[in-house]
Amino acid sequence: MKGFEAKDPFAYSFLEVESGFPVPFPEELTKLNMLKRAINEPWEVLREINQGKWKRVEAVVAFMSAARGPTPYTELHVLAHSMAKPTLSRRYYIGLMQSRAPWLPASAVTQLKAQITASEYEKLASEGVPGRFFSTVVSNGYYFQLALNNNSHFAPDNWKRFSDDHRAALNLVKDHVTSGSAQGLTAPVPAEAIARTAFSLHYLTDAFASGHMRVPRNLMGINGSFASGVMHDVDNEYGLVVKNGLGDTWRAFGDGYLNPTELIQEKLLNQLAIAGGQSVNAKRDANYFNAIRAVGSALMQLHYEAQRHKDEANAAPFKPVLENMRLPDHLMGDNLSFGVPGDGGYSDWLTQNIDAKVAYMEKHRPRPVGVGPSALENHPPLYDPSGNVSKKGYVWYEFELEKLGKNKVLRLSWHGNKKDFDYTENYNVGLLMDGLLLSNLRGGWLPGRETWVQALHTQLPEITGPPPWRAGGVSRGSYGTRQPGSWRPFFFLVKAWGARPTRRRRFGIRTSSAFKRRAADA
Amino acid sequence: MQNAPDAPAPTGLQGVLGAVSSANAFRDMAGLAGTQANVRAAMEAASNLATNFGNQAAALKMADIADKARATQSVDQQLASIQRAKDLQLITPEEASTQANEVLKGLHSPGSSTAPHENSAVNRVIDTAGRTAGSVVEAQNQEGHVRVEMGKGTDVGNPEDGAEPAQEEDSEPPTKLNGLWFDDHGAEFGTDENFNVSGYAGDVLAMSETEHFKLGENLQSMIDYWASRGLIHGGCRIDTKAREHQQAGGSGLSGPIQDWDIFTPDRAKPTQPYHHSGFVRALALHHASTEGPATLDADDLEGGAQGGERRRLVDRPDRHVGRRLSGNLRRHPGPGRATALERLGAGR
Repeated sequence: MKGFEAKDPFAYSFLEVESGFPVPFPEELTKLNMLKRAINEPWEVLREINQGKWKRVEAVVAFMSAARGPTPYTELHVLAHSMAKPTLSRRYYIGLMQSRAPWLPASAVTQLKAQITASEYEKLASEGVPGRFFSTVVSNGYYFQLALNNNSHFAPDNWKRFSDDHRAALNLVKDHVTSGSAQGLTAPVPAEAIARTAFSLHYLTDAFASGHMRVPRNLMGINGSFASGVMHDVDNEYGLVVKNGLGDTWRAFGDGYLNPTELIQEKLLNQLAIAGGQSVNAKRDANYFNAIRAVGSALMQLHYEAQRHKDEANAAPFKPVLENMRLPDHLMGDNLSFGVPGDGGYSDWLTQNIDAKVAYMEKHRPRPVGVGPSALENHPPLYDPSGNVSKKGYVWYEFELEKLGKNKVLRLSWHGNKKDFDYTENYNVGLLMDGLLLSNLRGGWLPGRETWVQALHTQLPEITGPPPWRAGGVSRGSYGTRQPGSWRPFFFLVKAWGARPTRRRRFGIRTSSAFKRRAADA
Repeated sequence: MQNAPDAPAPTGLQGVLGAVSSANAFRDMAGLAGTQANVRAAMEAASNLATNFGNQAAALKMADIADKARATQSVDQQLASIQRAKDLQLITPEEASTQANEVLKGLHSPGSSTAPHENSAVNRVIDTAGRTAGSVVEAQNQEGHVRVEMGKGTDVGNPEDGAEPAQEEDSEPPTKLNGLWFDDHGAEFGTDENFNVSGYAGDVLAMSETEHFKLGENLQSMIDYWASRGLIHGGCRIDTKAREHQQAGGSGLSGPIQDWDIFTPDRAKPTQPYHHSGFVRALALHHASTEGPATLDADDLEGGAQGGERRRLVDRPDRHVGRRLSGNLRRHPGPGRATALERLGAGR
């Protein structure tokens, strides 16, 4: 990590914020102020660094860097085997690092203990560090960089990336079976073909996320990283009605909404069911099933590609295995997938060439329908394909929370619904990026500035007043004077529960979460 | 030579791998068992390892990196390996002498430090072990062990299997662990920018995005099954000991790599390369430890010749097929399990 190694105050502050150690309440604002201070008072922070006042973050980063190991292989090993099951808690703690990174010397733990307090060590031993911190340090900063350059995860690049890699995998199978150079081998599907298709499936599944369908990510570039995040979040949560080439119509939500359970999502699905009747799939898990069908179809095609060449002369060494897999109406193992490998029937699947296979996969691609007021149509894109901010459907406003500063909220009014999206963190981090450009200490390790997110303020109508969703007698659309402190009880409850009322937590400035969301775009 | 570390006591063939893995244990494991485990785990059916798109890609990258790896291995250890191989009668004294000379010659040439899996002497030893049906290669150290079980050509009841002899009888000593884990596949990715190994690993990683893991999880059962039927070229199957690790208070992720059991395919049985008892026992243990509805029968484990799973997938989208299989074994320890295990060659 270039910035950290150069003792850049912002890099230090960023990792300190991400390291998961408690900071004074209000937590999010404290973190934001830490980052701002790194920009506005870099020499003060640097002096503290040189005085040894930032030893905790230095010690933890040193430990994680040691766990990363000396080579790309060791890095991959630690990342892959620590992230194997992301739904499990208690990840990235010291014991896990030791078991996954035996190249980690015992002295690393000793040094860590010497640099931090006993309670801090106990936290690292029991709870560990947050995933973002782990990913950032162990990938040597690449994790954060990836969030700024994720064009290939958005349409139309994501499908092309899938198609190219899957085609390459199919060719690997074909070459393996037909080249005649595989004397002594009997297994027809190279493991690398499976791996390459699996790799491509990351992009395929991104294509099923509504937040990846309409964002003009290529156009926005690095200067629109956080603005694209705003649109990404809106489309992911609100969802899009999509159609594929197989005749299916459904409402897709995105990324974290693989299992959509928000109230607005239930409402939209109901609206779709009423408007579309039997012609649409308005089930909550429609997107999930269409995605796993595509995933399964792609993998099955590898087997069918090998089977296509079974009777060729050069394929003789593989014939026993291939014939052993054949059944009258399908291949053994097919039923372990939820896919179908191609158009037509079994005999067609066994003969279709690679072009036909890739073309068939293209039919799985969900494409959003047009914009319109009907429940069978979609809300306007926040940024259209030319990069213009939508003049319909959106307004923005801000409100102040005591001690927490101003929150910026985007409101989408469509389909008779009103849905608010807090983009405070995208906005603030975008501003930080601007500030970083002015920092002499930056050293060029953070590229670009954020310009697109500010277009929301200049091009969208602003409404003023208190939060329209405010409960307790203030009706929606009635914009009176905010009563200071009226939000605090609920906020404290949220803090006390340690819960998030929704994935898009409305309350508080979530600067650190911005990095997570940006990374989740990938 | 006096600095040579103590080698573990040989047990069976464990001394072979143990001898090359004692000084800096994991570095060597990374070159041998560790690499093998990681390179192929996600690709080819790690029993307990939940795989995902990121890990699949990571595994591919590992394969490429492994081909290029230059793990340092002391000459002392290499000689110890040869000595132990000779003691175990895996190689003849003449072969041992020849191979020892190769190692010693390397002392006087640039770049003599090579990874064990690229050392022809060590490879010859491992290759010999690989052709020995039922061999067990085990590395023991203070942090755990790695155990590699070669296929047994005679312990499966199906007479149509196991009849074909091993076909790799090169006259020259292999330069890699031919037929075990390493081959040339994937080398072409070395020039593919998507799999460039010179920089960070990040580009091929899925990071921690649950939705990709969840969707990718669905594939694992088919990949497992393909491997069991000999469809996949390359790799091995691995028991990552997640169950034991979790029972011992661990995270529930894979256990420490030192504890993994690695099962290699038996190339003499191309349609059932993993039907040797050690693997089947591990598979059964894994299945018996996981949750799942009791709806599948033994045919499902064998690839769904009877069909019908697709309907159940629709019924229970929250569970992937692998867990269904597990549930079947767990809840029906009677005929269903017996049939399944018999088919896998472990019912005895």
